[in-house]
Amino acid sequence: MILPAKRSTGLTLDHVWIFAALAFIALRAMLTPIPPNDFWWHMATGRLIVESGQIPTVDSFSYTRAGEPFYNQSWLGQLVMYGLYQIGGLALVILAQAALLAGTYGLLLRLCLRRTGQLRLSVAFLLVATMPASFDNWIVRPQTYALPLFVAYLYVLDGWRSGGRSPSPPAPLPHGERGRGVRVGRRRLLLLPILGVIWVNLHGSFVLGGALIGLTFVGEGLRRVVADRRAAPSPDRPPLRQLFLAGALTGAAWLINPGGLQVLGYVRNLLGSSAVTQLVTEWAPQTVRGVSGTIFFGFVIIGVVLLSYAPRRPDPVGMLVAGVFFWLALGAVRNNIWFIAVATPLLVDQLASWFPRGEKPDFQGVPPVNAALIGVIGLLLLLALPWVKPTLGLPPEVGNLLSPDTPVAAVDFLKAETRRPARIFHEMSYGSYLIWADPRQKVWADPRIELYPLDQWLDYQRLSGGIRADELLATYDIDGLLLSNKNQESLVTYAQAHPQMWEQRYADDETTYFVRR
Amino acid sequence: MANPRPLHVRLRLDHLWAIFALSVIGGFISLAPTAPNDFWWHLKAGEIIATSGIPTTNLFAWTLPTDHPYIYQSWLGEWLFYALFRSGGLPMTIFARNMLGAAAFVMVAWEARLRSGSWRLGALASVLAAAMTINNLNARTQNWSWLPFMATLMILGGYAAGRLRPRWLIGLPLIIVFWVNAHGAFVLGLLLAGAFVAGETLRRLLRQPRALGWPQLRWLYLSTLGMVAATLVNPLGLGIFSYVASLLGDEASQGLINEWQPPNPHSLAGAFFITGVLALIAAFALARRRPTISDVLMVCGMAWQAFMGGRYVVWFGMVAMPLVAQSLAAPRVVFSTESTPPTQRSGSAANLLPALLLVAIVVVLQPWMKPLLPLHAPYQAIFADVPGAPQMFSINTPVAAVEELRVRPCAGPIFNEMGYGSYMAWALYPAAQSFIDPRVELYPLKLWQDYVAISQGEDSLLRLDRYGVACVLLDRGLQGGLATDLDNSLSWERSFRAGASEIWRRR
Repeated sequence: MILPAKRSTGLTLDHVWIFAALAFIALRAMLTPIPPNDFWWHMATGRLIVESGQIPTVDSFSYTRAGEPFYNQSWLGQLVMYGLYQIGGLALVILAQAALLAGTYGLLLRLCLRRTGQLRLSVAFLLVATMPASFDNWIVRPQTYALPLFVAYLYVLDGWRSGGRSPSPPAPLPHGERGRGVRVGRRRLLLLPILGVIWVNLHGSFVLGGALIGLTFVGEGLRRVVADRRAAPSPDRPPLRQLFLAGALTGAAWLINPGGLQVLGYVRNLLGSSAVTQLVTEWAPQTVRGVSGTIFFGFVIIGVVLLSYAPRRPDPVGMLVAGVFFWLALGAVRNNIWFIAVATPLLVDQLASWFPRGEKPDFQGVPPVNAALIGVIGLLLLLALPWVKPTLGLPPEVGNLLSPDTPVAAVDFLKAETRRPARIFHEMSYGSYLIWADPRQKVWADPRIELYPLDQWLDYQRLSGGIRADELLATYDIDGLLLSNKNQESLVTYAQAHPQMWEQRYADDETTYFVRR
Repeated sequence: MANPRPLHVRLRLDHLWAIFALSVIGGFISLAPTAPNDFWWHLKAGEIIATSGIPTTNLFAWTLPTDHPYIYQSWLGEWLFYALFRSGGLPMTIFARNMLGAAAFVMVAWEARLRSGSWRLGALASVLAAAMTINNLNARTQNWSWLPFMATLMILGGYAAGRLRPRWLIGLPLIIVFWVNAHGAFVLGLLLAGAFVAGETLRRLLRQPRALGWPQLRWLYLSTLGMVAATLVNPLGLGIFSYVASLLGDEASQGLINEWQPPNPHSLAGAFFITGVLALIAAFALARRRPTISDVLMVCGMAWQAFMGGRYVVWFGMVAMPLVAQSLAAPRVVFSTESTPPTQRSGSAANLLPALLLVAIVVVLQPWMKPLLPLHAPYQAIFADVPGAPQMFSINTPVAAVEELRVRPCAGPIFNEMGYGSYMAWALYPAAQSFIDPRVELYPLKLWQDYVAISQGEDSLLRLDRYGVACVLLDRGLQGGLATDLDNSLSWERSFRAGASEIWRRR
């Protein structure tokens, strides 16, 4: 008598893999202190929106561009960030960031799984390749809130395509089931314009959603033209007009924002701003010099090897989309994250072609041991919680909620001063923190790069380097200096060398504050 | 009396494609001006080498002691340029650049044809490779690396593919003996050999079909060792490697010089490069014929280099585009309705005329004939009026200004634009020396920073005073900040101007 195979009950090793993947992503996010650059001015704007009931349309944070128009496109992201802060402080903001990233890459993992049926392979690729190539871009700012929308678009579009595309090898589904898959895919397309409404108010990357739809449309169209010459199309194949309609609706959805059509002009101006592209590191082209560049190009090389030798040819539509986003990523470091997200399912699919589809590993561990593993990982998560980790005595680079270069103590000192400078010059990211921590103190500049003219940024570089210091300090009538010891060392030296003009009022390891006598 | 044998013309239409592509490339190279930066000081060095031996010190700049050590690693390339100059003047040196470039891309097309079996694909490969190189066509010692690189690639590729016998490998160390003395890119020859050694060994170990056998691999190992040994045949001996390492780690080069920066997709050459990368990836992924492990190693290595600095893009193009052709030669059935390869057609005499016409176009664009052509006035305007060399050198060659300095010498040290420093080495040395020139690795980073600051008008007059500069030879277009400071200064006066070049002297 042959007994039926025992079905595994309880926690399996696959569960451990999934949990580990999401947990390590969340861990990385929780153990990364918030850098000052973009976070604080977004928070301050969120606060301003709540307090005034309006989205600001002019600058009110600086004295150099006071009253100048500023298109505040990411208002929804700013509200979310500020709202989280109001509810649970910085700790909740960090926890939300971690949950968001875990959810995003969880969705990406699900996409890889749907395509390949290979859970452990997908998890391994995510942890070993995708995560290291992406986490430099996991900064707490509205862009990160846009990432799940981007991955959602990928997921929906892939689902729509797979409704009419034979998986390899073909899945033995009855006709009714395949038809159902097509209908689900079609209905999910409606998510695109709905998410588009959120995205266009969340972050300027909303245009990438349109790019995904457009590239999928073009790629799928071309693929069908070629495929139809060989064989008759499947009756279940979703018509392209569905995608066209979804794209049109998404485009229309972009108008649902406070600025209407202006939002497109904002994105165009941002991309064309010479200040942005010339002076900001993350808008500079990729280079292999530096750790993150090395990791990025390592990812690309792994991709080239996989594409060259995998038994199964890659999906040409996926190749088209990945190619365009690769071009984008090469143009600016900050576009890495989109390319990596697009390339991951493509490359996992290639990797999986070496393995039989849908075959689950026999060994699923022992449930109590699996539970223990999950418990250990869970404990790490617990210890990394932003309410817990500051008590553990970890190094500041992982244990703090704020990165050590946030000038908290210096600004607290400045706030307590009776005689405060009217026109302070400071490090750029300090400007972001000042906007939040001391709203009375107007800033010289901050990370709203596109607000300030190129000449002002060039002056920023000169003055920070101590070049033409006398002239520039006089030109801008500066009466206070809040300087980064690391990034503005020359200017610190200058001020210290002119004690008759500059009184040093505060200094710590990171920051020095001077006031004009 | 027997009838004479009929002339069999084997020139087919697909040959014409290749001739057309190569004519376009050869024509473009011939039309490209040479900027002053690297050419003139190399020519001067060649003159010194020819007359008194290989120098070992600074010579041309006053900001360093004249006897400050400097390695003239490309001495043979410099000597060759000077020898060409002696034989045919400046036109001969530019002609050499044109021929070297054209020959290199002929080899690219040929290699692509060998790999793909198609001259059309060879044409495509050469055009794509050349497109990536459009900003790297100056006459300079790097030109002497083009042919050795392609020769090394073709020998190694041919041997690995079984097209060439082991005796061809003897050529590799001989190429290195020339290359190590002609230009620093000789290291790429070793990298190519290393890629083939690693790749072909792996193929053997993995028992891949058509992998080289161990006896054949032994010849490859031997020739690679021979190449390494051949690198010692240079004035520095083993020191050549520490020189190359110091050059690659030089902060000023890596940080301040454009061609050492990663390619930018916003520039035309950068866009061509990235298109080439994408084409290669697509070709590898979608073609039926897989690249070999050696191919992948080579391409990844060259791509990595290219992403480090735009000056390496040329090598990537030469390696990668023939592989694109190879991959395109065996398209997937889904992209092609052809089930059998096209039949070879015989040549036609009618193809001879357009072929000759195309070659003739390239011939008339050579330095002696180009000035006689009625070329577009805006094109002619991009050239400087260099005596004996019309329409060869770019407008920013300060011929008139340096002649002024020769006729009316400066009363003290000269501050100059970097590229001008190269021309000064040729036209003024030893009568006068420059502040700086394109021998980037010679000067300390601090000097380069001062140069940039002065040029940008950052405390420029103060810095000029600190250096005790008596005259400034500036390019107003490139040194606008300095020009403005001098305009506003009471202690300097402009004594000469020609185009963008200006001479300023202390009052």
